[in-house]
Amino acid sequence: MDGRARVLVADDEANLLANLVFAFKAEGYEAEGFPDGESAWAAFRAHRPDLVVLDIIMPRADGIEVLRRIRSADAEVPVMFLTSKDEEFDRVLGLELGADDYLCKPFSLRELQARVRALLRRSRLPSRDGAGSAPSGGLAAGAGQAAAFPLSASGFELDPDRFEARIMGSPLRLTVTEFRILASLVSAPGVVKSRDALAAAAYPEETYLSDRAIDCHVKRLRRKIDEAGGDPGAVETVYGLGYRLREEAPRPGAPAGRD
Amino acid sequence: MKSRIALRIFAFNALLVFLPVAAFSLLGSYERGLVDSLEQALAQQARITAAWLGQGELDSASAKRALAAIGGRRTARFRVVDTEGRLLADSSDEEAPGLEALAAGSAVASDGQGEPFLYRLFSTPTRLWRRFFAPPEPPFSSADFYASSGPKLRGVEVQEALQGRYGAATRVSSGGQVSVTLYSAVPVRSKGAVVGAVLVSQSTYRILQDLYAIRLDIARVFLGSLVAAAALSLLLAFTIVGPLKRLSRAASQALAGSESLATGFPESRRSDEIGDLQRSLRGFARSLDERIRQTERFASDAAHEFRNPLAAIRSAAELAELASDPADRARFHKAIVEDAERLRAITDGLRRLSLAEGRIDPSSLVALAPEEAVRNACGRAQARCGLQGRSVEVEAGGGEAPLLLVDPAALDIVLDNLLDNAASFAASRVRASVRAAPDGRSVAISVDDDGPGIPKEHLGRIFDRFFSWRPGEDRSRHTGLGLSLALALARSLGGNLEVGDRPDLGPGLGGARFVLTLPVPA
Repeated sequence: MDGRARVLVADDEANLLANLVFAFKAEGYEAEGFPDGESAWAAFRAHRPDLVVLDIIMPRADGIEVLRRIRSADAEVPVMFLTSKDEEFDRVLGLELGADDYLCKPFSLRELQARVRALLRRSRLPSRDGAGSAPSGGLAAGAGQAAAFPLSASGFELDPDRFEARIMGSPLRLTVTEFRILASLVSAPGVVKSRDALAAAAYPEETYLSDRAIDCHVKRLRRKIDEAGGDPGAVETVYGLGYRLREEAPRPGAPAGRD
Repeated sequence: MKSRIALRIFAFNALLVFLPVAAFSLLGSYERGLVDSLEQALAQQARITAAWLGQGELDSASAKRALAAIGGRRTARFRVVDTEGRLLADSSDEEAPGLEALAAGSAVASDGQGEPFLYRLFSTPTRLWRRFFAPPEPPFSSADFYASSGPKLRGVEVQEALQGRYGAATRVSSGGQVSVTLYSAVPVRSKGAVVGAVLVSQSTYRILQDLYAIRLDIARVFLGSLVAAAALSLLLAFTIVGPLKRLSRAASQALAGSESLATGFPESRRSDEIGDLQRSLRGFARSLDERIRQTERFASDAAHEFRNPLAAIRSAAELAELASDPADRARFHKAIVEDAERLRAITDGLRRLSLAEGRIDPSSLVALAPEEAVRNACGRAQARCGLQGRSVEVEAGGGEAPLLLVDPAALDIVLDNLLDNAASFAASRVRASVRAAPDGRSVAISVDDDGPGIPKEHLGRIFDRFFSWRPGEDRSRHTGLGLSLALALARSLGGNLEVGDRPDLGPGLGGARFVLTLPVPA
């Protein structure tokens, strides 16, 4: 990897595409824009980028089709979606598709770049899961591993630098939004966080986000915790106020049972 | 039968109305008929007796002989009087006490206490009517009239008879039962002179007894009918009111529920109006569901279309703020204006589309020649191509066609959209031609181009709102609303818009072909 990260952008909206490419270049990335899925896929195969930003609705292979092809060739490259249809979120974020994050149009460029930075940092830093391709995975073992997660409570361990999260030792594959929500809860166990506070944590650059969006993210976060063997009830709903992390003594080695 | 509920209601009402009317009319005329025939029989017997008595000397002995001769063949009481009204003979003197009493109609009577409860219950309205509302009747004199009148019988009927005429009187019988006694008096003539009179009397007690039995029967029938009517009403309530209540409950709950409206109205197998109502409510709810789904899909599509230019505008605005190079800043400003323009185009298109999906005002319909409309539209399209710097030749073809009755503004919008769409795909030529259908009932206007044609996989979506397939071209130049608008307008004009034959099969220019069909007014 040379110093400049390569970002591949695909959107059929010509002005938006030009703006994105301009913005990424201004940020110091090597950026290329494509007006449809086919040409983006051809460019991906010719030269693997470090990050892909995809619009969903595009002529000649839509974003989801491009993601499927990318995942069949490369499981690691971070893929970020730009969507303009609410009902597509679930499809895009379906775990089997494996998108890493998404933003809803119209989005703030600052927010986009913050997320792109987060995704690039996560993919560039060596993974501690052991399952990743990073060569350093085998080295991190023993007592040093737990200490490497600066944020932990109620069985959750989070590393805000790497955007990595674990529940009872099992890795959680979270989007940047979900990670930020969980980090906000884990940083203050037992404290009720309003939806506004969580939205501010999840979208530091955005000015507007609906309450329901936070509810959706929390729902998905719980599902992922459940799938990783944790207790989804650990993220409690406080009716009329917001959410909080249940204060609980972690029971290492055994998944937390549901009440 | 189509309307079983109507039948049920009719049967119910008819039953209620028919019974009392029938009972009253039957009993009234029955009683009159009985009394009439009784009186006639009395008069007849009196005449025969009088004729017999007139044959000889009229005295007490002959009168008694005559009455004895009539003997047991009578149920009435016979009296014979002379010209002074003195009683010469009385049939009740010679007979058994039972028969006498019956004939006199005075001693035997059933008092009110003997009537069963049912009878008293049902006669209450009649008694109340008689007491408070019935017009006063002339009081009958009592049937005991003759018992207390002394040796001379001076009733009005006897007076009449002694003057040579037929006399009759009606008097209330004594006893609890309100019966009357009929009196008929006939003169006895001997050699032309009235020598006395025969007075025959009989109580209507028997008739009343019969009527009483009938009334009692009618009361029983009425009670039975009342029970039947109650059962029928319950049945009606069960089969009409019950389902109606369930339907209205379903209707009020359908709005509260978040799911589809149609699930509130279950399938009905009833063949009557309630079944029809339930089915049409279900159909109504289903089409309402469909409309809601369409509206939601439309709102989602529209939101999607607005978000793309909004995203471009927002990013351009952020970049313009940061950009240091004035040329970059100018470029971002230009992009913002372009995307704002695109938002305006989408807004206008949606507004026109929603108008076109309504009804066309009949007063805006004008008879016009289609070839002229096409020629004008081609001229306008050619001019627009020139303005956009596109070298496309737009030509009008085809011959004479019958006049159409259309909204000219709507037709122009359809043609403009079709021609612009064709011109944007055409390599060099667009041709619009008018052709009348062989049966003369419709006119087809086809618009051909020599562009790349429409790929088969997009044929199904070509008229969808916001669908735009323009490979290699910036999507933001087109709203994807033009063909949807043309189709909606064509339909509101009573016609249709279709993608024409495949260019390699038909006589087109090699690209796409759209055919607008409009009906010729009859």
